[in-house]
Amino acid sequence: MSGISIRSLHKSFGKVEALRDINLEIDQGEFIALIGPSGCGKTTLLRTCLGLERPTKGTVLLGGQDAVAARKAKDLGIVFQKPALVPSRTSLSNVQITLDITGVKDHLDPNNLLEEFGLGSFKNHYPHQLSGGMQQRVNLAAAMVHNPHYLMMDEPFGALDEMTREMMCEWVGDVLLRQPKTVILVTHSIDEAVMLADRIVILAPRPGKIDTIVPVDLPRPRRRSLKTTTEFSNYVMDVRRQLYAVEEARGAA
Amino acid sequence: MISERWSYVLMLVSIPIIWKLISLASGLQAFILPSPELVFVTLFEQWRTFLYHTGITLAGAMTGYAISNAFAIAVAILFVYVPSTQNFLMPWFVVMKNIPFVTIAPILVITLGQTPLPKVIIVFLVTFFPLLANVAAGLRAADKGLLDRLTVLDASKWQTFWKVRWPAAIPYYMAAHEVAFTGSIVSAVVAEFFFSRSGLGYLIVTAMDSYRADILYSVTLIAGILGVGNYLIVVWLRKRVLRWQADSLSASG
Repeated sequence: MSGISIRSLHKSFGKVEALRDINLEIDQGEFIALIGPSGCGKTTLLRTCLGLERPTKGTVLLGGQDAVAARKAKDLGIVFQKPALVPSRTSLSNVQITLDITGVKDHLDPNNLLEEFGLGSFKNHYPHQLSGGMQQRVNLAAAMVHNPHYLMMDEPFGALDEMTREMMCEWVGDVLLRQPKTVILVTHSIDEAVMLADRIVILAPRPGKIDTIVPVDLPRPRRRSLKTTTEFSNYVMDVRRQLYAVEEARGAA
Repeated sequence: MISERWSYVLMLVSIPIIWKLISLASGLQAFILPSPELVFVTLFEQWRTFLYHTGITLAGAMTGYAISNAFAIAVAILFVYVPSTQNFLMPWFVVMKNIPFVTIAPILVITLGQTPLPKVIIVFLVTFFPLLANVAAGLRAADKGLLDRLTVLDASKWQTFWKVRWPAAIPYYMAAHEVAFTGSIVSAVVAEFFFSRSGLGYLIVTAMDSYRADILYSVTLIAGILGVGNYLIVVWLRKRVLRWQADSLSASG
């Protein structure tokens, strides 16, 4: 089983309480989007799931083990907003690094993966020669090549323009249909959350806590054209209302 | 527009012409301002002498510089991986860095006598700090997201160093080298001013005593050629090693 189990998680930085009593059970292969106003601790929550931050109280279990064990099992892939590529290595070599480090035997072929990601003719390009969208695709390839069970993304498309962002969303959805993973996505974009997630977790700020969870019951594969449907708009409206409520509650407090 | 290559040729041709014009116009005597042809004759006739003394200076400078490089890289790595060492060593370094090396040179000479040792130590003192500061800054300049990515992949410190930190430091290292190499020649020559019996610095002192401006000019030409030669090597290396870079860093230190 490779679900994620977050139980009464608290996280403080000194006197600042970042997360309070987070409880969330994520199923194997489920796609969770974390959304909320800035300062709601969504990045902290993601980093705690990755073991980059230690919980102050409570536990995060990935398939029954803690994050460090998942790390040792080479079972994590990450994508941040800023592409984390080595500037002195080509696309292919940047994907290859993951394999060099993890030494995973049962991996995907980096060449095929890049071709599949539409980068067939950019394998030998250096990061600075690629567009932002291409760099993020290299990053995703590098995060998936070792076949991890978990994929964590922190605003992966935040720096991209609207059209590229839409295409990347569609495309990530497709990739995950072929290679299912348990995914946590931190995002600012409601559209992106509805487009990708099985459940959208709305966080309230200061301290960060779970406000509402919105299940998204839309069929897959989800295409861009979905955005023009009433169903999609209803989800977006629903999430937006919840977010406004969160903001207003904070204003009143 | 004129290409950079031709600009160099133009400069090489212009220098002796301008020099000749100034020596003609000023009417200064040869022991103050020798004509270019006199300097070239001196260089040509005494090339063995110049070669010998240049070799002595270069040997001292390069020995000191090599030691300096080894120590600077080792200490920079220590600073990055064991930050407390920096707090401990910094006061010492700040003081050592800010004592003008020309005042230390005579002290070292009277203590250590006529050995190459004072020269090597002075070259070390002059070149160590710019190298240390730049290499340490370069190692720290490694992309934070990339470091997180490697942590999540459970990379060893060794892997993180070779795959991320060291490549990030190379541009900084090369920028520092461009400055520090010239510094190594300058400091070796200055060290030779004091009581030495060989080297370009010794040639300068004896030429001063015997009013041989032609020798002073010859030594200046030789030192200039060494400096420019190093610059050209750095440019060539940068093109080869940093071909992945969008724009190269300028020197600092």
